[in-house]
Amino acid sequence: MIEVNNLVKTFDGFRALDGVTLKVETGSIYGLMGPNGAGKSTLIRHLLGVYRQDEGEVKYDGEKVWDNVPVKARIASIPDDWFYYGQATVKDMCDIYKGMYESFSMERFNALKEAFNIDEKKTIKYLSKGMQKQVAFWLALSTMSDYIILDEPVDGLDPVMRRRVWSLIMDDVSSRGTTVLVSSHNLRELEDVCDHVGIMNHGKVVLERSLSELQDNMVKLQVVFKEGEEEPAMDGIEVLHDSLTGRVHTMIVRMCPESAVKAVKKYDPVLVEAIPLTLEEIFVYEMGGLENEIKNILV
Amino acid sequence: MKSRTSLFNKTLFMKNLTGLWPVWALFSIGGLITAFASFSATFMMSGHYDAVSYLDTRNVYYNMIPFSIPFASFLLSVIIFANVFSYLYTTKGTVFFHSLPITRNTLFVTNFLSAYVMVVIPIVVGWFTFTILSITKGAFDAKGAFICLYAILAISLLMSAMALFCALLTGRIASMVLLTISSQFFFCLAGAAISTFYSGFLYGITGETLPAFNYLSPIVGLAGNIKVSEKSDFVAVVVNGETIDQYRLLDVAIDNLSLIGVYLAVAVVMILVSYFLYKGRQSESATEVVAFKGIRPVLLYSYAVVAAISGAIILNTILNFSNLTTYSPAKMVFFIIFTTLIAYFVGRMIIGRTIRVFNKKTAPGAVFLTIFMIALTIVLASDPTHKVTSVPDVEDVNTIIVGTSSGEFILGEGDEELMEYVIATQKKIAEHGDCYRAFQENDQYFNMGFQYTLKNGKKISRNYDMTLYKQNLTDRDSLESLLDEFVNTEPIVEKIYHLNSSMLTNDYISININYGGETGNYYADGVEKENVDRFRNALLKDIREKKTPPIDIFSMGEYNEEALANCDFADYIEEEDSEYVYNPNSMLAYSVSYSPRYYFWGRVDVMPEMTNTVNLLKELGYKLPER
Repeated sequence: MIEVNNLVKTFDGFRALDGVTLKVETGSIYGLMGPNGAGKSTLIRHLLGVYRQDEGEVKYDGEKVWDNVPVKARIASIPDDWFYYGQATVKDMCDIYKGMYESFSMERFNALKEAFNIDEKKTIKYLSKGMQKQVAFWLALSTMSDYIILDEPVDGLDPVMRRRVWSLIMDDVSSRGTTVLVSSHNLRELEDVCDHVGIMNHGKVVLERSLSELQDNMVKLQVVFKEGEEEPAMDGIEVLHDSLTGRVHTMIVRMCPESAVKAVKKYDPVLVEAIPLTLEEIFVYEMGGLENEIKNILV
Repeated sequence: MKSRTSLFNKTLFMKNLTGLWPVWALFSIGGLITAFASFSATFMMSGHYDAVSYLDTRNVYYNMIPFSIPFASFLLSVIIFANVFSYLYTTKGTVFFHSLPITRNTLFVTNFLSAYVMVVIPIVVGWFTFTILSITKGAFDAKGAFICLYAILAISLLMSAMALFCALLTGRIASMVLLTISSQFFFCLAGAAISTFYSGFLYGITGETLPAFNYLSPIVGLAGNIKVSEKSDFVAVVVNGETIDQYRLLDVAIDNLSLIGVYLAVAVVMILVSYFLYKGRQSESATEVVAFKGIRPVLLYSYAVVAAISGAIILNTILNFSNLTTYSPAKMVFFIIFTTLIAYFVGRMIIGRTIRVFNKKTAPGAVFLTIFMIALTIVLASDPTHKVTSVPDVEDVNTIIVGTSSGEFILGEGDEELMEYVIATQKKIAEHGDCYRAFQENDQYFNMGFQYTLKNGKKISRNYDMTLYKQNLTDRDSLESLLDEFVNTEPIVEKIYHLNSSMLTNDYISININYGGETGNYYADGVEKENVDRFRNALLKDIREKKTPPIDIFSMGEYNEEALANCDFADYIEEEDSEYVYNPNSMLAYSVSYSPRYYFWGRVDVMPEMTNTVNLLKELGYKLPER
């Protein structure tokens, strides 16, 4: 389990992290979202033990990560801008990972060769950006780490490779109970893979829920009332958003779908239909006043 | 699980070595070539062909220590450390290395060790090759080999420690390289600039060195303080039926070797400091010019002060229309304001990586530094310690070397009265102040220097540039009268001719008679050692019998133009009785030595009236021209 408690980091007087608190359960995939400058990468660098916090703590299974070799040996990461030695081949970087991570599995490395289909003798700098990212995944997954921290991991990958990479990660989670934290702008993609999500803004985690919790708690209703009748006040229903197209009301209601339909039916509508919300929509309406900022992170 | 306490990571070590092999391999080839070149130069040159000994090997080993080893290790350390620690200068590099399951201690130790090994390898390759070659020639020298190896390891450690220190202070590769290079020369340049600036205001005080600053620049400190001395002679050897003199070493010594030990201790301290810097270094400082905020003002202000002073000196040199030997305080204040502001804001631009430095945030610093520099200039110009007019007490003085336009002479033991006179004269010149003014016709440029060696070993130098006016000679209080009296005081005249001095030896005396100097022919001859004293006694007698002409301060050091007129010396040499020969005097130059490394040259215009000298020279076989 990853625990971040009241993490504060200041750069030249600017609080990049302003009391971040989050928890990632073992074996879960946690999606971290937020607009540019929200503090996602800074938080991830703390999670990797790269940055030292001003206040607060970062713990893995109760142990601090900073300069802690046994803990760091259980973490593999793929940052948004992956480092490799200038003249290194895939094999060279494999040797480095192998020398650094005792858990590195050559068996896994060889097994993944087929999935990535990259010549390991190739110099990495001559590979395309997408292929370099694949090499990063290849090596990170070969470390057989308990934790995988990903920062914008699939940027630059084609759709087929994205799917393949996610599939490999999901396999890892299901087979070995790997815990994954992934930062991304792509909410639609996260919706497919994450079971928990957190959204950051201005150096804080402003929302942290399980995906099912979010989806059970909010619904989109399409409602048509009888013609000529005065529209009801909808007392007892928390309507976050209401728009009218012709006679069709589209409402975002903070209730579980069944209760919402039941509550609206009291006003005898001609039609009432519950439609599940996308993650994107949930965030837009959940965040209320932060709507504009949240929109910025939606793809 | 990896050990938490392991300080060494083999994977990282090998990766560093294999990643940078082209660099150290190339330098190793250089070391190999240097070793062969040294070997050839030492053992294959004809002069040494049959005289090879272990001392020749030692000579090569020792001579590597002050120059080759420091320079090679410096160059290597800049390249190697910039590469090994380059990960600190990019965000992706720091994120990668600091997220790896190794501690920062391990990263620090492993990276440093691997870099140090790569600095040492090429130099050791050179040392090893030369050692093997010397063994093959039967001239192996264990002492020299050991001392040289010690110097290689110690000096390389110092250069590595400095490069490491600079690598950790900076956050960009360019600033690391610049700081490492300038750290070698900054202090010695700063010392030169500060001493030039300081002494520039003070009449008579020029070129004072600040040795401490040179020690802070190890390349300069090692080159300037570690001295190799040889004792040698020539042995007659028959080669191919011909007898030739062969150079033979009798002993080779190295002075000040303990300096390397001091630098070694400094290196260890620097590595320890660097270790704590690394511990405290924030990964997010990558891409900053200076990685530690607290260091930024130190670097900014120290570089700005030195740059401002250097700039002001250069400006003064370029714009010194009035030819003053000392700085004009008003003009220098103006220059220093100008150069301080430029230095400060350029420094800000470099550290901040922006040209937008003219704002409220930087203004207080600019104002503070400018006020400080103005105050410093005013304080230095006012000579608060009265250094200009302070002179040593005669009882503290061991020797004084007095330089005039015609040469130098020395006073020492037994010359106490003369010393007092010299010191008093120096004080009067100093009090007279800077009199180097716009040069006019009939004026004479005159220079006088005083080098004191005190009994405590300290050395003090004063040097005065003066312009003399002939019309002032009639004024008894004038500088011209003072100098005229000084150079014509009999004991001083004797000293000018290096006579009556117990301090000078005659080992290297030779007498050269120069008939005419620049425009005439030159005739020279050595003087038998036993005749040297006779010559000096004859000259002394002429001085005491007032037969030598008075010394003219307006023509000291110049040839007697009148004496050269209408004289064809070439004809004289060919036809001794030529009717053209009527030159009334001859110039006579000779040298005496004070210590093995210090020679004094004397020159005498031998006039017909100097009968004692003329007769002796004739007796010695010199053919002097007569009217």
